[in-house]
Amino acid sequence: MARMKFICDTERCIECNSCVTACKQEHEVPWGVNRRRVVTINDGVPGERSISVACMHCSDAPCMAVCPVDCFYRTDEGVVLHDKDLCIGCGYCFYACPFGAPQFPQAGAFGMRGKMDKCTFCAGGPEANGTEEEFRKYGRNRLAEGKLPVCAEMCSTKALLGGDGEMLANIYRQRVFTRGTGAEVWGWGTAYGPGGGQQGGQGAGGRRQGS
Amino acid sequence: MKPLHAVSALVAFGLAAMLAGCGEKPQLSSSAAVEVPGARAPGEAAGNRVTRDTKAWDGDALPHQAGNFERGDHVGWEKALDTRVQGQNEYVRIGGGK
Repeated sequence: MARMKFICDTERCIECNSCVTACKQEHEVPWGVNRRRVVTINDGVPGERSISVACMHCSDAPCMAVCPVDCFYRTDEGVVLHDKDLCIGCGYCFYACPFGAPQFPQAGAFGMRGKMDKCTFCAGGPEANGTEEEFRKYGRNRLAEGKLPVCAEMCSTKALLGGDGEMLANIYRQRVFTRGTGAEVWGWGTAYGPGGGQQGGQGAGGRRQGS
Repeated sequence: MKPLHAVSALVAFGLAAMLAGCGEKPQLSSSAAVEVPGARAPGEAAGNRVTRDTKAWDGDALPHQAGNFERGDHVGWEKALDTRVQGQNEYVRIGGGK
């Protein structure tokens, strides 16, 4: 059984924001909501790094734990989704999430929050696969079409990888062995636990060569 | 009305207003009586409420399906996805790498 995960290779990310654009275009995400964004650390100084950040579909998702109406659920593939029919827009999940993934569209006057919106790993929601209703609430269901998340498939440098965690770890490990640097997998320890769940987490790319 | 009577009446009214609070019934007798729609029972695991989602590999035919698998074919769907995951590895697509 596949366990879906994201990896962002900070050695490769060039901050082009095509993942952000692809996501917004594919799912027709409204203004003010960014399911994915690129964060740059030490911008403009030597050693700067860019990371593409969205919901990591955590193994022990804190959003799921704090939701007062229990609107989150996990698919067999480990994708964390939610039911917008149940969501009350309280914002607890936003405070719990270490990645700032939950987004809230403005739903009227006085800054009132709408129902939470987040990355679905292009897996839609509880509505029937590929229906208009599912698209309207959650965006396109690419996983049901046998495809991977559009952000990962669109990434020109293949910095962002999405798919079965074990396969991703193998791809990343090969990269690290080939280039000899950049073994750190950002966010894996936080999302998938110490050791990165079953796949080896921070050490997914193997140990840094020469260390 | 004499001023003394007016003051007495005011004091009596004030006392009555303050004592009214003592007669107020508690709105929440115990935590068990509170029923929040959708709330989990203490100790219940999260993520059990939503059960109506269709499996990604199941359901009706989709117009933009990729890969060689029939709807309902779990193994075929996983294979189709695995092929696409490997497509992200340029060492497989193009060659090179250690």
